[in-house]
Order: sequence, then structure tokens, then C-alpha cells
Amino acid sequence: MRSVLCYGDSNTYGQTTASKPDDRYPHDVRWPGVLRGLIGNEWLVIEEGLSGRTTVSNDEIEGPEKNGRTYLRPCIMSHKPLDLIIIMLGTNDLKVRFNKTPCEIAMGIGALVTDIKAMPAGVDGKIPEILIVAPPPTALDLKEWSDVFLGAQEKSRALAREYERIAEAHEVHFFDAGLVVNSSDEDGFHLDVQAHKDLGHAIAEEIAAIGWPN
Amino acid sequence: MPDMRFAPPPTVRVAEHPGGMNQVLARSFNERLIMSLLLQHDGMTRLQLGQESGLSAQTISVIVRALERDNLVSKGEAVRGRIGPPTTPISLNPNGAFSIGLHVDRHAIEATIINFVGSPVAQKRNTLTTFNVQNVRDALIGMVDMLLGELTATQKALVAGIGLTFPQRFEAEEEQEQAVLTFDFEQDLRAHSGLEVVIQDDVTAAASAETLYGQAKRMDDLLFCYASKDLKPRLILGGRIYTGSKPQIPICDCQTWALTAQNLENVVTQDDLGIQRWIKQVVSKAADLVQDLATFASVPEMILSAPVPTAVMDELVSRIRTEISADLSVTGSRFGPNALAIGAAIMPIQTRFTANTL
Repeated sequence: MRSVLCYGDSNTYGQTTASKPDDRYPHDVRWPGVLRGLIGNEWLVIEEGLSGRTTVSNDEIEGPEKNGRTYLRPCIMSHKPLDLIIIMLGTNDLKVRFNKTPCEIAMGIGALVTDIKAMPAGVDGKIPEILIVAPPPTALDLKEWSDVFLGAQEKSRALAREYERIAEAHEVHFFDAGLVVNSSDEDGFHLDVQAHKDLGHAIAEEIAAIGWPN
Repeated sequence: MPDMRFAPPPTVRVAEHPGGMNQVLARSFNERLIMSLLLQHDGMTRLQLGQESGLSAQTISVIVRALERDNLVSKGEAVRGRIGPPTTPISLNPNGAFSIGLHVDRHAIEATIINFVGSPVAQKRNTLTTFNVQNVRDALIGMVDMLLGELTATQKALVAGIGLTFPQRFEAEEEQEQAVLTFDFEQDLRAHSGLEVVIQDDVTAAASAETLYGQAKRMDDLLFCYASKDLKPRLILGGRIYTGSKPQIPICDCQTWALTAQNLENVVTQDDLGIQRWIKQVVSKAADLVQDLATFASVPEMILSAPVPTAVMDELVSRIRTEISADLSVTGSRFGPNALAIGAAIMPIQTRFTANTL
């Protein structure tokens, strides 16, 4: 049995598109659950999604626990040995309070990759495979979140390209979620039920395409 | 000075426009290794590529994405813009690159354009009435223009280069022969077309074509023979062509060959006496060669190429088979009468995209 850690934000946690706090899709609806349904007989799918999680930033408003970098190490150590770590983060880094360009958000992802590579969290002390997933662009109308995500529409459309650069520089796997799903028009940046399903299927294919020797 | 460990990563190398191929787009050794594997096998999964190359899964992932961006491998059909489903093996995109091959002979120039998987997309032949530098030069330039004219603008931008091959000897007048062999066609054609030009001897190039696209794709040790006026063998050991010696074993004289070649071309009939005499000679010389070779190297395969119709090739192959020991399997080239032009055309693909160098 192999194990995969899905490290992400609210779109991995399964936050619904209704603007209600902690309104979470059932476990088999959110994409890690969909993934579990597809490959669960061979893989332990570990969900580590937190609403508001950033790549590397302390959030002065939402609290220090949202920093994706400080939690990554203890999280990986809790779940190791791991065969694969999937990182889908960056949407929260688009918040205007962080004042980051797409390139800098991608560099935050790069920092997480560097941290993972510095710890032997894989099987037999190896480094796990790493799959960077670029989140889909936000919708053009971000509703009541427009101020928080000021300028995010344009920046989010540049993330995939910047993430691919980072993936290339660090020699890790890459997938652009924007190829298979859109952010919901409901709230502008969360995934709806169908999107979770599509993403789960696409990630299952990406995992299989990596190729795993018996 | 910022901490360079945190410098932004380099820009992803993308051939943004079709003309990307014409920039000096050096492919890394690992990319060439992967393309060499894809040339040898019709389709491979990323897992197989990793196992064959010894590269890590993540490195394969990065390389396949880079090749995909440059349209050198076929994209998966399931989802636009990404690697296909795991069950769909990755294969080379036939239209990812093109290459021009020119073979100069005493009496004619054979030309072809092949695509990235070695299939000819255009072929031309130009007879040389008088053999001299000026005529050869004019004919070559005319051929290049004519062949490029067969391609769309998009395809033209994907031409990897021009391969030019000559025989060891033209059997022409010494003065003309030397003039042609020493003329700088490389510079001349490059200046005219803006394409890279690779020059090689004709039989070595034809042998390379067999290892890259032909019958020898997955063979390591073999004897390649090209039969026309002479029998010209090349020994390939461990996938490398030995070019230290380029023997020519005479089959017949120039005049006889000219007549035989004409008969072969017009497909008179296989029972034609001249053709039969030639076949007999080829078989006997090939058998002698195999026997001589066996004293110091044992190769399991022999590939025969000749400017002859399929029926004649089949007869040659079956007669050589009966003549020699059963330990050696004999196969006829599938490139047909155009083998030398195709050989020329693979040179630019080999130098630009594969990990094997001559």
C-alpha cells in the first residue's frame, strides 16, 4: 500500500461554495475522497486541507496556523513514510494583504518543495515524489471577497505558468488544475461538487501516469 | 546582493512560435536519451521511460512536458494540453520535425523529406547529365528549393536540417571527382537555405537509418550491407557503426551496373540474365564476407539494402539465407530504392535529437 499526502487549502479541505464558515462537503465528495474512491485499494489517501492556508506566509488576520510552511514539516513527519506529496496551494496568497506577484507565490511553492527535499520522508529514507498542482484561476466576479482578493483575477491567471517554471527548476511533477476545472461562479474561488469530482479523476490519472514500479 | 538561492527560476523554455526550431535549441542529453528511446519503441509509458533510461520519475515528467510543449511528442487525447492517460503510451509526433536528405551519385541526385518518425513525405530525383561541381551545386540547390516548396509554412519552420551524402568514389573523371568531393557544400547549402547541413558517406548514413528507423531499431550487433556496383558493408557493434574502414567489394564493372540498374528500374523481369548474374554475384560476395567476418566477430543479424524492387530484394535475401549458416538471420531493408536519400535525411535528426552520435 502506497500513501499520498494531499496538502492544500480550502479547496482540498472541501469548503463548499456557499459562503458559510466550515461548510464542508462530505468526505466522498471532496477531491481527495474522489481520489480515494478511485485508487483507495492501492493507496492510502491522506487529506491535509486547511481553509485559508498560504504557501509560506503568516496571516495577520486569520492567524499563524494558516502558514503552510510551518505546518508542513510536522504534518509530513506525522504521516511518513510517504510515496507522494501533492501540493495545491497559492489561492490564499492572492489576497491583497500579502502583496505578492504570481512569481513570488510560485517561489513560495518552491520553498515548500525545498523543505520536503530536505527531509527523508519517503520510503526507505528516500525523498517522496512531489506533484505541484496549480490551482484554477479565480472567477472574474469575486463577490463579497472582491476587496480581499483585489487584483487576484489577473494574478491567478498567471499562476500555472509560474508554477510550471518552479516545477521545472526543482524537477518535480506538475499539473495545471485549470485544465480540468474552473472556480465556481457561486463565490468566485471555491470548487463545486462537479469540479471536485473532475479534479479527483484528473489527479488519479496524473498519479498513474507517474508510473510506479511493482 | 540578494541571496541567490532565492532567485526566481529561469523561464521555461518554450518554442512559442513554429519558428522555434530554427533557433539554436539545444536539447539536453537527457531529452535526447528519451527521444532515442521513443524512436526505438513505438510508444512508452513514463514508467517504461524511467526504467529504460535510469532517470527519475520527476525528471521524466519534466522532460516529457518540455517535449510536449515543443510538439515533439504526441499529446494525449483525454485532456487538452496535458500528458495523456497512463494507459496511453507516449510516442513521437510524426509532424514534430522534418528533415531533408540529398544523396549525390555519379548520374543522379536523390532527394527526400522525411518526418520525425522517418516516413518520406516527398521524394525527388534529378538526373545529372554532366558530372561537375557546378551542375551538382545547381541541382542540389534546386532540389532543396523544390522540396521546401512541398511543405507548408509551419512544416518548413520545423525542418531540422539537410543531410548530404556522397559515395566513397563517384567513378567519374579524377579531376571532377576531386572537385566535387572537396567543394564546401556545407557552407554553400547553409548559406542558401539557412539550415544546418550534415555531411556523411552514403552507406554509413544508410546504416544509421536502419538503426534509427529501420530493421535494426532494436539490434545491437549487426552487419549492414549495401549492394549496387559494389557490396559495401558496415559493421555495427553495440549500436555503434564502425567507420574506421569502409570496404568496397566489387560486384561488377560500371557499365554492367549501369545496364543492370536500368533494367531494375524499368522492372524488366527478374529473370533478366543481367539481373540474375548480378544477384548471383551479390549472394556469393555476401556469403564470403560473412565467412570472413565470422573469424573475428560473430553478429547475429545481417541487413541488406539495395536499389532494387521488393521482389528482387526478397530473392536476394532468401538466396543469401540458403547460402550462409543458420546462425545469422538476414533481413531486407524496408527503405527500398530510396535508402540512400533516406539515410541522408536521418543525419540532421540524429545529430539534433538523439543521444547516439556517430
